[in-house]
Amino acid sequence: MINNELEILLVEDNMNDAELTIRALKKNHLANRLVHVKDGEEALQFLFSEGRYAGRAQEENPKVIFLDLKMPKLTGIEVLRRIKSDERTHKIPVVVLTSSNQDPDIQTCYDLGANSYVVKPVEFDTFVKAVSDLGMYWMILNKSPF
Amino acid sequence: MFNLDFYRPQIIIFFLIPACINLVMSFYVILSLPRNRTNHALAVFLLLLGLWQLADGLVRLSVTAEIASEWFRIGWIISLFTLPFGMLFIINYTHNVKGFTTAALFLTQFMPSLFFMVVLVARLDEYTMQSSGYWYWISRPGNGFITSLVHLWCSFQAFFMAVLLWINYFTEKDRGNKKKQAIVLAIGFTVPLAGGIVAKLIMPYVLKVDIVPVTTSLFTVASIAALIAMNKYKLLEYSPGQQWESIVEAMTEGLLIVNTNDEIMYANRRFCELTGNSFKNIRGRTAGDFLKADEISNISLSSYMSVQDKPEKYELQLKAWSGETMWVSMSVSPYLDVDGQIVGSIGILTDIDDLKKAETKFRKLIENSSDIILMTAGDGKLLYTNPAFTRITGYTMDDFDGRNPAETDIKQMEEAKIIQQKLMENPGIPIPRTVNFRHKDGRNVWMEGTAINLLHDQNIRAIVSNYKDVTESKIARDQLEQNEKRFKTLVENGNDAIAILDQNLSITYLSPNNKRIFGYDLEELQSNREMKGTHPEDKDMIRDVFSKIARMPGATISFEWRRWHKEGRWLWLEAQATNLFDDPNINGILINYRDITERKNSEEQLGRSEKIYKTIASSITGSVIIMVDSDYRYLLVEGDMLGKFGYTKEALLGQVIYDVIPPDRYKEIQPELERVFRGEYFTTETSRDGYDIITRFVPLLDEHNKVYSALMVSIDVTQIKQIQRELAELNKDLELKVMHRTEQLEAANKELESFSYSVSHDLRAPLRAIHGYTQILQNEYSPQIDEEGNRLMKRVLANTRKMGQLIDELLTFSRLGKKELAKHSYSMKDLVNGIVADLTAAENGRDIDIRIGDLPDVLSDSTTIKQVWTNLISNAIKYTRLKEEAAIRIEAEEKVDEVIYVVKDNGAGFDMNYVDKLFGVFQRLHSEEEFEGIGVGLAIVQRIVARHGGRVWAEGKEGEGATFYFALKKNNKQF
Repeated sequence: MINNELEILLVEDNMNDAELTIRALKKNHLANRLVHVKDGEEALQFLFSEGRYAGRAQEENPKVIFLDLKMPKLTGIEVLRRIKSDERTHKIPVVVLTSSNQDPDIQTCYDLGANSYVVKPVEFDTFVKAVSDLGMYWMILNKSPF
Repeated sequence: MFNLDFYRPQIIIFFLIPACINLVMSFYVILSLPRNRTNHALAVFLLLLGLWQLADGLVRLSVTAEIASEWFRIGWIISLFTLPFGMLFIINYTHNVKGFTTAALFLTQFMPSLFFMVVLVARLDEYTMQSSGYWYWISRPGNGFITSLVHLWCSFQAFFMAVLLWINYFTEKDRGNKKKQAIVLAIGFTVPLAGGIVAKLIMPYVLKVDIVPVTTSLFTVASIAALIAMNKYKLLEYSPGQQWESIVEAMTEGLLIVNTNDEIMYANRRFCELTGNSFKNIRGRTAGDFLKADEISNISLSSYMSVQDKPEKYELQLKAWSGETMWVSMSVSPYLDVDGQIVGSIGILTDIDDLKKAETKFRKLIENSSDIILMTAGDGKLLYTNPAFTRITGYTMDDFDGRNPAETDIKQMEEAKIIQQKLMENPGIPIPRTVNFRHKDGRNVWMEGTAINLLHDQNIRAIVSNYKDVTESKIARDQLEQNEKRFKTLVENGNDAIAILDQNLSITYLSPNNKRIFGYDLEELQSNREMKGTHPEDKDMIRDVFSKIARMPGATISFEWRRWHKEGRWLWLEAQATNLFDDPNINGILINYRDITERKNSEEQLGRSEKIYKTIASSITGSVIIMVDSDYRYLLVEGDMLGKFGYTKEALLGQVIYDVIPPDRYKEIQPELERVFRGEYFTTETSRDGYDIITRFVPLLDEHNKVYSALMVSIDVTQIKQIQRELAELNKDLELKVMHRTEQLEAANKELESFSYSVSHDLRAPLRAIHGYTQILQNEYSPQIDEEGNRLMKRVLANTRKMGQLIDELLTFSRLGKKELAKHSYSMKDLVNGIVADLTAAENGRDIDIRIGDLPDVLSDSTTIKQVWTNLISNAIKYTRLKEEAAIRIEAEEKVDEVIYVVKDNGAGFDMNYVDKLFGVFQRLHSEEEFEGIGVGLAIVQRIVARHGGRVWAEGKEGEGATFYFALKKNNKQF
């Protein structure tokens, strides 16, 4: 594993949630190489090295993407569809973040090829645990395709 | 050379005693046994045997070798003839005479013996006598050839005799004593033979011992055996003799010989066949075992002989082995021995069973004949009557005692004499005869039959008559005459009156009941002229009928007419006139008629009711009623609608449809008419000239269920139709409106849904932030904050958690409205058991008495129903928390169309005044402090059950507990 390799791409429009997520990951020392983008459009630009991220090396794909579903402009579903339909990115594991486990979009996410999902609970402790577990799994236990 | 020590008692024993026995037996056979060839041969054989033994003995008693040699030679010569006679006996005994004719016997038996005798007498042989031991003489052959030849020849004969006897024994068919005889003889002759072989071949050469005397003595065994066989088994005594036996055996009659004790001594093959027995079984039994004089008593043959000593025939029944009996004719004659003494009886039986049966059959035929059969002698004396005679006349044979039956009736005597004479003159020709005979009890008996003179017939020698009892048919004829009279009376008094007219149409006969019908006397009616009394309007018609009928022989014409009654009123009459000029009994026109006045009156009545129907038909407004016959001719046209289509009743009645209505209209109606005439009932709807018409087609059926007419009832439904159309229009509008509303409602629902969805989502985000940051604050900065600050942070966290729950529940609740329900079958009991197990596991430490009753299954959506149970049961657990002994009952009650599930607890309960608030969203009857909760559980329950088409209700009392019910429909096909 190369040290400066990108490990997590967090796609989250809500700054509060983003901060709490990053904090939770940091607690477990998983947020060292994390990029946070504010919406779907930016996420795609990042992944495909376009616009603002035109200079980014295409090969440096993240090891995992944490993707919020409810975002302005491009929603999480659309971003997911783009990621999974492009051969450059379709192998990147995507963990979907959602507000409710009753969300009707969850099934759509799995259909599109999401690898996992995490409910963002109101209680912070629970949230921290859920995020850390997922981060652990995808970062450390799961063998990256790259 | 020789020894004089030979004189010994042994010689007397071995030679002289057997020799004497044989000689005595020879005389016994000659004197005591029947004189036949076998016995003669046996006697000679025994005589020669005795002599031979004597000579052999004298050899041993000789003083010198010369004398011994002479006796030896004499003995040898005798022995040469002993064996041929033995052979003669055996051949006769074994019935092998056929193969040995006298010539053959002479050539084979006696010729060699004569030859050897000549050789011996001429002393052509040479031998020397030597003493052996101290008392034997034996011969030593000189020139061995002839002597050896003689030895061989004798040995061969002896051997052949034994072989013949053994063959006889083995071929002897089992006939009892004969077989025993055969074995005695065979063994008897084999013993000396074997002895001879031993003495002549083995002893002299091998052991150098002479046992010839022993062997010679053994011949006595053979003779004793022969005598025992002949005497003990008495065969020869009762046998018909060999020469006759084959004839007797071949007889087609059965032959039986019994002794004086009636024991069967001999029976031939035919007798054995008749009885189905073997001779072995028959022999020794008595004749009575097989022969019966009648059905019961058995007979003794010898008793027959004591009565009759010349042959006499008897008819007897013979019992077969199978138990069946048959008729035989038997002639019995005495069986005499040689001295002419009666030693038994001979019976000869002939099978006459068929004959006897035929006789019985014909006797039965005659005895069971229903006709009388008589046999009379030439002088008229009665010889035989069959039982029918007694039955018909009452007399028996004995009543006449041989007299002529005609004598019982003087009247018959004359006739009987004439017939008798006729019979005598015409032998063999049947003479018919009718006899009026007086029965024994005095009444008359009529008999018809024939008599035939068969006096010339050797077998009958009688006049044979047979008569049939015809008394009853005679009575029947009388009866017929009486019936005719009765019938006439009947005609004259019946309902229908009769008149017969002649060629001129004047009355020749009037039945008496004419008076009853018309009130006039017959004379008055008969003298009537010019149809006086007939209704004037009917006179022409009647004249017409008569002139017509007079020209048509055999024809019948029916008509109705009116005639005046004497009492002053018109009668209606229905009449049939038939031309019967061809019938010689009538020779006229037969008219029969009956009064139908009453019927006519009722017909008039009927016409009146028809008028009523027509009036009814014509007074229904807005209708047309039409009736047509099968020719489509109008029979009935009524109704006020008729005019609206431009027709009048008068213009249509009696017309045919297609003549009146336009062709295009007829084309429309024709298939409908065809349908109704096929027997169909149906209704059509048409629109004509601005009118809407409903027409009902009704076929009218006659008594044979055939359509004879069609009824069409048309009704103007224009107004009704108008209203219907308007109604349809309104309905259409209504449907559109409903659709529109539904769309609006759906849109609103959707809006509401997305609203609640985004609300819950968006509400959660800030809540999460509040909770998250406060949590961080608490985690990382609590040491810097004082106690009150920490408490407040806890409150913030608790409240945000609570709000999170509220949002989750709200979301769940709102989603229930659109969730699809999947109906399937599953075990309700298992489901509830699972839930209870989960819920109680979380309550460890509490002692809850939960009892689950029988829970019937209902087709439903298990996911949501599970939610229902979970909510209800968890409520029950929750609200019983303060009770020391919590008791929860889960039960169900099965109704006809639904199952009611019940969850009952003894918990906090509720006030029934607020029962309607129980199932509202966020409605609570208890404070948060008492029991935690947000007030959505029961609302969810109600929503799920309602979506299943069921219902929910509750009962409770504050402090005592609550009972929740929910009912689900069985066979719930749709949710």
